Amino acid sequence: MDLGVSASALVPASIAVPLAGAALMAGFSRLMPRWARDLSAIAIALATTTMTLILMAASAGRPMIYWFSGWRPSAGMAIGIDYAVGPLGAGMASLAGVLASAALVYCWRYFDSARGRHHALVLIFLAGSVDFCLTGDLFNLFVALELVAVTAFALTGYNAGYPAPLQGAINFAVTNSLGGMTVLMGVGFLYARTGSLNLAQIGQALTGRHADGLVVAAFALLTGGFLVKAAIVPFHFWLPDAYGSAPIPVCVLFAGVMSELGLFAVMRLWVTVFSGLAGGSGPRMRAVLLGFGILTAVVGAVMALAQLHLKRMLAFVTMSHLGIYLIGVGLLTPLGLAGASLLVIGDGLAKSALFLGVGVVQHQRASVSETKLRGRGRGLAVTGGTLVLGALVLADLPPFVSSAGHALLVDAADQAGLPWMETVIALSVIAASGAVLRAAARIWLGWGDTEISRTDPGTADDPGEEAEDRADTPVAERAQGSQEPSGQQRRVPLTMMLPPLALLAIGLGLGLTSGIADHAAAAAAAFSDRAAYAMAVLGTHSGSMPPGGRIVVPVSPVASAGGVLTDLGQVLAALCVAGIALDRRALRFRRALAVGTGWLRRLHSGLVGDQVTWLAAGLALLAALGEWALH
Amino acid sequence: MSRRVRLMLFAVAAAGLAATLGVGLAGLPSFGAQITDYARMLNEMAPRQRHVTDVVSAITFDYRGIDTLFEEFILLAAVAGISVLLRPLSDEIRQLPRDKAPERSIPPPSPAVWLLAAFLSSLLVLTGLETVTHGTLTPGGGFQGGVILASALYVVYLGTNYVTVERFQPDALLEASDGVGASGYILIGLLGLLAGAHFLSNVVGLGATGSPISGGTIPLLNLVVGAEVAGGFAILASEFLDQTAVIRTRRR
Repeated sequence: MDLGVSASALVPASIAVPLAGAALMAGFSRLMPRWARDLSAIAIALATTTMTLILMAASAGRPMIYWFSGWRPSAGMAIGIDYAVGPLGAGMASLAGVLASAALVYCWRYFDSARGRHHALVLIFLAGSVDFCLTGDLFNLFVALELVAVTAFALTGYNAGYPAPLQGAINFAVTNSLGGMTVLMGVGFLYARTGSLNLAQIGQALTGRHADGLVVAAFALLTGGFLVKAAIVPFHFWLPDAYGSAPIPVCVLFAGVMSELGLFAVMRLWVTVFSGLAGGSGPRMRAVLLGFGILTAVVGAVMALAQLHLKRMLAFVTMSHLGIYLIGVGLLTPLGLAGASLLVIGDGLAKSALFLGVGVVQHQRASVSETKLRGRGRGLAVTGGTLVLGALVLADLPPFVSSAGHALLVDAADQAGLPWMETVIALSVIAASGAVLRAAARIWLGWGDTEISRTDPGTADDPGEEAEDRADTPVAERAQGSQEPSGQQRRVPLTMMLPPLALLAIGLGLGLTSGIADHAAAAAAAFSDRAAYAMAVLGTHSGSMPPGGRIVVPVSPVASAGGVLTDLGQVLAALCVAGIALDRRALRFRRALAVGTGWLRRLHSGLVGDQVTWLAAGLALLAALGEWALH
Repeated sequence: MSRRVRLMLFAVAAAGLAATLGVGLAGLPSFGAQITDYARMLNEMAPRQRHVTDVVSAITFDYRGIDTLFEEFILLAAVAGISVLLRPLSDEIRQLPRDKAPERSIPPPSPAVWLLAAFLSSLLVLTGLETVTHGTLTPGGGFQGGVILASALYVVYLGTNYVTVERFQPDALLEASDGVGASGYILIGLLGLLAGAHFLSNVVGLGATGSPISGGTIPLLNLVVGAEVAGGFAILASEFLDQTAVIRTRRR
């Protein structure tokens, strides 16, 4: 279909603008003063965000298809590469844009050297994320995965002078490169079978066919590769190492969008490619995805409670959330997908705000260790407030947007006949949020013990914590020559104070937007409509049309009041968790917990050999489960 | 995990994975048995529609041109990333190695080595330019030619020394080449939009099949990719060379 010239030109512009900006910045950074580099990078990121927001609105009715180089398909056969822009993908892309903008503003006073190459890398990361969300081509999806990965590896190792960031970046690079290779192999299998790289056309070629060994292998390789990116157990071991050692502005991009992109790809592939197989069983696939999701949510939450290193704690919080999102999308219903999408936005904004807040603490106090910072929060009241508010948003504090997402997710689980899922989700959310609140109480209120015996649970195993502490403070970077005033006296730059507050405000604003749940449900329904997708891309489709009509979001006043009560209950419970974690009287209870979860913490050894072994085991498991579900 | 447990788990997992891959590979069409519909269609269409004799070039720079744009930026990001990782850190300084025996003069490279380097590097420059500019006609193009061009600088280093090769490759020029090449791809893509067609549409005159200037935007894209790749690989070599030759840990 033809679009208005203006709107259709925005599709390529949404990647061309950040890429061109990155290229010029990489090529001519010598000619630009620091402030010009910062300003233009922020302007480019904001422009990209605006364009993707317009695309989200413009594609709300039906998908916008854009054929690069003008090669439209002939006779149902794709010739070139298309972008299939839907509101869900464009929404993910704009989230990436918002977070990249916030990270770049934050960088203003954060990174000092490397002549602005981080600007180029962040912009390329953004362009890769946009490509990931919009592309309709399987090989192009792989290219986007690689582009995001390469920039992410480099940004993780930014503080290359310290062992921890290098080790984190190496673990990250090894596991994710293996993930990329499995994706490439999967692409090869599907291409050999269907003779196409276009997602819609591959889906059409497989429609009604029975899955044989090749298709199952392709499923396992593609899904497994993207689950590495999504840090789903047992593919997740790289995540704490990478997030724990990456510079703070980079963590924002990682925690908010990067891993979520992996889940997005898994769903895109399921909807457009694998769900049309004959004999494939939806309920079985649901069981597989939910199993991985629950495992990840629980492991992430438990590990988050066990951390004293703030960035590693947030890393495990992120992981727990990824499990919850996988539960949402794994229900394989539009409603679950809608709930997960709102949660991705709401939690992503909150987690990014938390990372930025931790960055302020690190910048001012040169530590990210909860115990070392105990009682040293004085003078950082705004940041303390940011951290507490962010943590409460993680527990779905209404009226932030994550609360709406949580309500949708619970509804979706109920409709799928899995009401107990609500409890699993609530427990993970409470534990993750409680961990952050515990840290805030210790730092700003001075609660808890000063010296923590190694047997106390809250005790984290943070090898190399000492090294990491100062690793990405600008103080360390600037050390040469200048006499830095001691951390206590420096004022927090506004460019570091405001971005986290702005992110939280966006989450609040979205939560107050009326009908946000309906918009999300409509976007998810459009995303899940396999036949409409194929029709829009190829102009033809085979297979049965699903029952038409929009899904209805059950928002009765009673239900939403109940939802608000549940959310408030979660918030209270999270506060209780924080209290118990710091109370002297609960020491024995905590000790028992620590002993009980010791084996889990020992599994997170940070050894790349272990990580690759788990990756291989996960792939084999996924292949077996795929055989069970698809055959 | 102990080493033993890890090996056992890996053995089990690898066996499962190997079985999966084996089944998958067994499902592939046998070698040379068929080419896919997509490949057949492009083989047939490309020479006619795009006036090229090298179909691969038409695929990478026209039919699937957007993929190549992103691949070019993977290289750009990798080069920028290496530069970030290898930059002189706060506890490092740049310092030319000092001769430990100042009374003994360093013998200059022998004329034979010098002559060979001059000959080889000019040959590499010519071959590189030839490969970049003939992508539409014969296998090759910007990526391959760019690497060959950059390797000319390596030969200069082999035949001379660090100071000389640094004079041949000012960092500003290399970075500019990298940036211009990458942004040039996007500018050529915008030509399509300006002409009222799509991004990366081939809107330049196609020329006669088999002539050096044919294929529309394809040779232009090859040129900018050549500039980007040559600049990028030269930066890579220069960064690694700096790391081994002149970047030293500061003495405390």
